[in-house]
Amino acid sequence: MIASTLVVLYPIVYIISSSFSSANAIISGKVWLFPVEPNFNAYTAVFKNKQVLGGYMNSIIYTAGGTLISVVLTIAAAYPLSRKFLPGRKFFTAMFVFTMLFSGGLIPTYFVVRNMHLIDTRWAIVLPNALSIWNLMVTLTYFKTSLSEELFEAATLEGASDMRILTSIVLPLSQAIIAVIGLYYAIGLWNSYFDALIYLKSSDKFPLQIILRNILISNQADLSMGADMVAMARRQGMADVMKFALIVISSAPLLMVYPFVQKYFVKGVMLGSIKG
Amino acid sequence: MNNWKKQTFLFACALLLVLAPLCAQGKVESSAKTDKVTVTPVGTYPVVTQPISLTFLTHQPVYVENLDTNRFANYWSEKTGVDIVWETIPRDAVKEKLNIILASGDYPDVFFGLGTQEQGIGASHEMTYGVQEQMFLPLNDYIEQYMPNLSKLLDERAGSRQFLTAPDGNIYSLPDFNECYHCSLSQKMWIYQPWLDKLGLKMPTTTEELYDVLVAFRDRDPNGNGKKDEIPMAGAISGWNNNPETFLINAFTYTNLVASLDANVNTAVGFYRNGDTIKTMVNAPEYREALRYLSRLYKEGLIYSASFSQNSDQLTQLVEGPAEPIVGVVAGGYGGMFSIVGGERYRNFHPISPVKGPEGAQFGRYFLQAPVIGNVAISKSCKNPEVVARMIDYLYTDEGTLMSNYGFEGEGWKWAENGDYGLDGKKAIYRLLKPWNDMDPQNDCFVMLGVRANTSRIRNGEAVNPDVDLYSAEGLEALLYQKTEELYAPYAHPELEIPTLRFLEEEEQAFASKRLAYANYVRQSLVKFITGAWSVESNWSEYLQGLEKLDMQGILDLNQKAYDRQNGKI
Amino acid sequence: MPDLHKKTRKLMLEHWQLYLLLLFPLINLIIFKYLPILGLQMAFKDFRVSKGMWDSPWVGLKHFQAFFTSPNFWAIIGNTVTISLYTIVAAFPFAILLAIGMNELSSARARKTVQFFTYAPYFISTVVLVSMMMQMFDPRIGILTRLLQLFGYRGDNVFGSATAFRHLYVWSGVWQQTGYNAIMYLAALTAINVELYDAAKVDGCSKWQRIWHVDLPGIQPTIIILLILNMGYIMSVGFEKVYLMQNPMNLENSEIIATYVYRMGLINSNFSFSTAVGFFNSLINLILMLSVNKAAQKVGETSLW
Repeated sequence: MIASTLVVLYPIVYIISSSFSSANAIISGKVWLFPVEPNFNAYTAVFKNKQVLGGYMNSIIYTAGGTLISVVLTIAAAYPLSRKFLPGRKFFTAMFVFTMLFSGGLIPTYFVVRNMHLIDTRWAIVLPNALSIWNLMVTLTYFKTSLSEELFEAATLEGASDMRILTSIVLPLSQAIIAVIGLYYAIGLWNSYFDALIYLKSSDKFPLQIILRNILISNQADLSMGADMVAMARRQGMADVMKFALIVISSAPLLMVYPFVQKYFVKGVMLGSIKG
Repeated sequence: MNNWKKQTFLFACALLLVLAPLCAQGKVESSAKTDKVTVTPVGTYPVVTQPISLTFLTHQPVYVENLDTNRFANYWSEKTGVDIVWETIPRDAVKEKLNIILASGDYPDVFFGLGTQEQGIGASHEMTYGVQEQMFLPLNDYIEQYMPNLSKLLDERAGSRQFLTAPDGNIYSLPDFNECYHCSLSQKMWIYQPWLDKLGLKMPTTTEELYDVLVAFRDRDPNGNGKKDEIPMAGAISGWNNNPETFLINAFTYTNLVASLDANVNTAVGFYRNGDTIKTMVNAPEYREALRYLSRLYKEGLIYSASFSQNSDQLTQLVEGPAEPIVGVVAGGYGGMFSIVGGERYRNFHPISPVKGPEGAQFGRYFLQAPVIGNVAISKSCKNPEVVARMIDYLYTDEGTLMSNYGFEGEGWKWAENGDYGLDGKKAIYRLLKPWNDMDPQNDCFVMLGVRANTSRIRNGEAVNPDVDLYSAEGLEALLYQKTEELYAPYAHPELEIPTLRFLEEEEQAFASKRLAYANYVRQSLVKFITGAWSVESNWSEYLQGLEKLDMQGILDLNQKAYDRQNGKI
Repeated sequence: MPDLHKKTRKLMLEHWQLYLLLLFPLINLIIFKYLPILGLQMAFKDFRVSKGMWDSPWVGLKHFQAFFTSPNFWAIIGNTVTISLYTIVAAFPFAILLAIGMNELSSARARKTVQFFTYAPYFISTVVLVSMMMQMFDPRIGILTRLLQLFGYRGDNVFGSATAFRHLYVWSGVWQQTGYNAIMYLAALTAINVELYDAAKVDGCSKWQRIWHVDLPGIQPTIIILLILNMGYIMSVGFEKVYLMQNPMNLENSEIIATYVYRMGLINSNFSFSTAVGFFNSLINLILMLSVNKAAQKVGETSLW
């Protein structure tokens, strides 16, 4: 355990230190563990861009809303498919899995989104990829293996409907897996930028990642331009520091969220449920 | 048990069919519902008799805050009488988004600032959407009739019209001129002057002299720290002209071959022009000699071993990082590619002239300063292409270019006064009032967006301080200009370079993978020979066979065909 | 079989709520996944914007041929598959070990700290990861180069070595993703019936015995499902990281489908071609995944369906 923590620790410290170092120090490779010529330049450069705050807001909306939609859809699919007696179960499962492997690609998907008039709406970010088949299959497996049949039988005997079973038995006992897929969806949504790039036009809807990337790209020397060399040199240095600052800025919120999720990974959630 | 399966399946199919129309794409529609308008006589403004509005699709540059409120955009709009409706694509997504838009048929009136340097419209797009599908308008007549400024620029540059023309004889996009003198000979090598001085050596002029200098650097401890830690020569495979091999091979035969995998598979694999014949040097005996030389250098530890696997960041760290300087000779388009501009070590690297090989060959790799295509394309659905032509022509005037680049007169620039001299030593045309900045958002001008006539005349016409310290950060442009003129210009041979070739769609498809495989092979082999993985003596015939197997002759023939096709026109 | 039919009908009606629930994700699936799949026909056509997808001319297997006859085609496929398999085989034991280890930690604080730090590398962007790797393996001053040399490595340029490429790629991936992957296993571990632990304790099992007999079997379904799912991504080795790590010295082992097709330059302008390549990849993924799923079915009771 200690070994694994140390192994990951150094590079992370390096990144944080680099984000506070000067461009020249990074270019010369002088940064090893602690910031060299510490300054907040990279951070200032990022935050002085007025769009960053808006980007944060948008990302929060997308992540929160999208995760909710995704988790609901995932459970809405996993629960029925986990009931072994359900006619058509295998067929539907196969239908879902098929889409994990085959995809029409960017252009046809774009056409569908466009024809549904979702271009440049927030829905375009959360709907098309709302259901991750991967997460679905994992949830499905979890339901199938961790929820014993006796529970269901007992509940049905007492006259509980399928929905009732879902809300009073399945959900409470699945906190761990819900936490996991919720986390995975949230991470995916928070880091997503490609969908936003393709489907959004108005910059006031842009999520954080796009704004950050724009800032980074603007700082990378574009050699084909043949532009002013001094400016180019200055930019290049800044870009190097910014790469590190960007990681810190964009991952900080997610890293802070994680501890809240951790509390769901508690042993013994199944305790006593059978005896009830 | 099969009935329900069948039923569900049928139901699903029915559902799909009903929803299939959602998958359809729209037809090409005109997004600006305007009627045809008359254009005013050429040379007058506004360009229309009644106000109209046109949609311009462009990318959102970081250096422009908001195109709708941009002062230059509004100035241009008022002057021409055209209301511009801007639609933007994030810069990151130009490649994908542009292609989606092109495929969807939802075209704006004008595609603006989405040229090849933005990974946007290139020769193959012109081929597909222009020649093949006729979704872009042919612009030849509009240039003739409505664009005197552009026409003049094209007339002044021999071959430029051919360059812009697609294989069907039509021009589908307007050029962006950005002629950079020092860029034309930017494969430069730099040497650490203090070491030469310390060891009492002269600037090397031949390959053997260079060899001796490198050996001296390696053995005689020029940084004086008692350790044999010197790296005589270093390079990288990414970054602007950080590759050392090209400079050295040019002492044996002219080449544009680089080892870097990302370099263009058509223009940087050793094809060159001899009169009107396309040839390759990758199987020439001179090249073999060059490889002998390079492998000798590598074997004796005179070229840094990671030169063919590291990127320019690492190269810079090599030069700047250690307490004492350890790199003697380094390749780069300018000093910022391996050091910190204006810094202590940077100042001491001086450019050296191309060296002469044992047979007397002495070439500088030449980069043709061709205009960039794809920055203005007009879609078939635009009802007023003449208006667009007249509008854009303004950007090709001196005033239009200066304003678009630098902002308003008196604010970003002003006309030069008597006594002002430009980079080229001739009378200056303008003086900059604000330093060039293309990274911070501003809203006065376009900076680099779209098209302009940033010709060498204009670029070199920027007034400079005649006493500037060449090796300071401010003196960079002057340094590059002067040194290129002094050390590299005598060895410039533009006639050996092939102008960018255009291929037909079938040719592209048939040869795309062949070209890539060929380029990969040539580059990998180059590195193998240098590092000694392959022996120049015993593996040479194997190498030649490999070239044949990859249909080098077929690629040569294809290039020749494209070249002839382009030359037999206009 | 009328009886069975009736019985099915009855079941379906009884559990109408389940079907209702299923309807929502299904609709999302059909609209956003299945409709676009109709676009796969582009792989067999020459897409023409002016004609639209449905009216573009059929060209049969032309694009597939173009792809298959690329020189070095097999080497490229080989690289892609090798890297994928290597990644899968290397990654999953560590994720499991980490999850079990974290589960064993008695102190909640220690557990949270370890979780946090192992989860953090996932967020490092690929660009930064590769540049950090290049620094650590720098021929002159790289820490890891020195370490390797201590163990007898004779060269100095790890990034220039074709043989080293795979190891570099895979193990940096393991480093980056183990924490993230372990989360899944950790959740599965928490679902193991506590009674089993009690029973083990009563039986006098040592810690390792308990892990072997309770923990591992408890998460076995998860492990198997994840393995099967991973097989569905074999051909999809990510582009960015390989692209950044490629150089002329390691190309023979580092050229994968994604980078090769990218550099051919057709990927964005010739949709039919890129659809064909995607279709081919999907097909291989499907075959592999189905085979592994079949095998899983034979061996145990966990499988995809």
